[in-house]
Amino acid sequence: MADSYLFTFQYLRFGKQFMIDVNQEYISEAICNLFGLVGAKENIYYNSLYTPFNKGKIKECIKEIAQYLGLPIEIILSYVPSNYVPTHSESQRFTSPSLVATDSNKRGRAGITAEVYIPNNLPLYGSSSLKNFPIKVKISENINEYPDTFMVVMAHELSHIVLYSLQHSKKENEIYTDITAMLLGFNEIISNGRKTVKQHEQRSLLSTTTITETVTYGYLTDSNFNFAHNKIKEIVSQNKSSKKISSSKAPSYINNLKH
Amino acid sequence: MLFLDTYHRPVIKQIDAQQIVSFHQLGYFDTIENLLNRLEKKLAKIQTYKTTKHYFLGMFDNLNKDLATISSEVYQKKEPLEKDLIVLKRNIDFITRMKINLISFIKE
Repeated sequence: MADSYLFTFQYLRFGKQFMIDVNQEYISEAICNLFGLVGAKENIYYNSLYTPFNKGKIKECIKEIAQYLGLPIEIILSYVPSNYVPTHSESQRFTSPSLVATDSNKRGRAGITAEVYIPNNLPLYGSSSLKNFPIKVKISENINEYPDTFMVVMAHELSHIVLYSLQHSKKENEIYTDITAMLLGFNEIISNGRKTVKQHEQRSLLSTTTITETVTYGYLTDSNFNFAHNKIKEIVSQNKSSKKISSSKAPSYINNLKH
Repeated sequence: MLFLDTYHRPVIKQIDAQQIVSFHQLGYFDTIENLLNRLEKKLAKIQTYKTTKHYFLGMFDNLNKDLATISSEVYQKKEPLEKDLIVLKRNIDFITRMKINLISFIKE
């Protein structure tokens, strides 16, 4: 750990405690900036992630997420207990709020943990040195309980690596990181997995109360998320239709040549 | 052109002869060939873009603009080229012309 610093991200959030409220102009600017840099991808196929995940091939699943983000890295995976509380040494440059919901003893009681270490010598995005570059990832043993959340968390965490390898001025900015993941094919995955709803019953002598607990993941407020989600969807669909137009025009150009 | 040089009519009108000579001049086909090469390259690019799922800023705008420009250039060149082809066709000898027509009829 001497030559690297730890990026710890604890993703489970209650209410809007960790959300960053910015205006839509800010979101728009971030999308424009990042689209100019990394482009926009069509949504990743669910099966390409859920098939290895369901087979217990978690490393393969993380690799697939990284690949889709344009990171042909090697994942060095290790597991931590579900009640793991990240410890932060001085060499750790980033510390984020707890990924897991913690009790008064700072012991995790729900959620999952994911940590991605970002080394100082991280190669540039798109460079050949990034191929098989080892990246350490720590995840909690209970990720099987939260597949959707796991995808969202990993896409977010690895997007930090995208921004770091781009040496982007906003590489520490969580909103930019969320938007990077959304632009690079995780728009739908995040949309589906950013909220989890849990219900439990509380019984008393006279009545039974059903308590619904909704947990939102990510740094974008609902309205900002919807705004970004729709905008990115629009960018991708515009490009898809431009692609169709180009492809449909091609035969007419060829015919023009033939006759 | 080579075909005409081998199988031309015994007598060629003076106007046609001048035109046929101009076809043989250096650079006559260069502009057309350049245009076709450019168009082929752009069409090849479309082929590679066909399967892409990763889009970049202005990716198709530039491509479509280029294609539109080249297409209009092709269109502009097409008319004089067609007139030239008529000159070429009418000066091929009768039997060869019939053979060509018959072959194309069978193909159709």
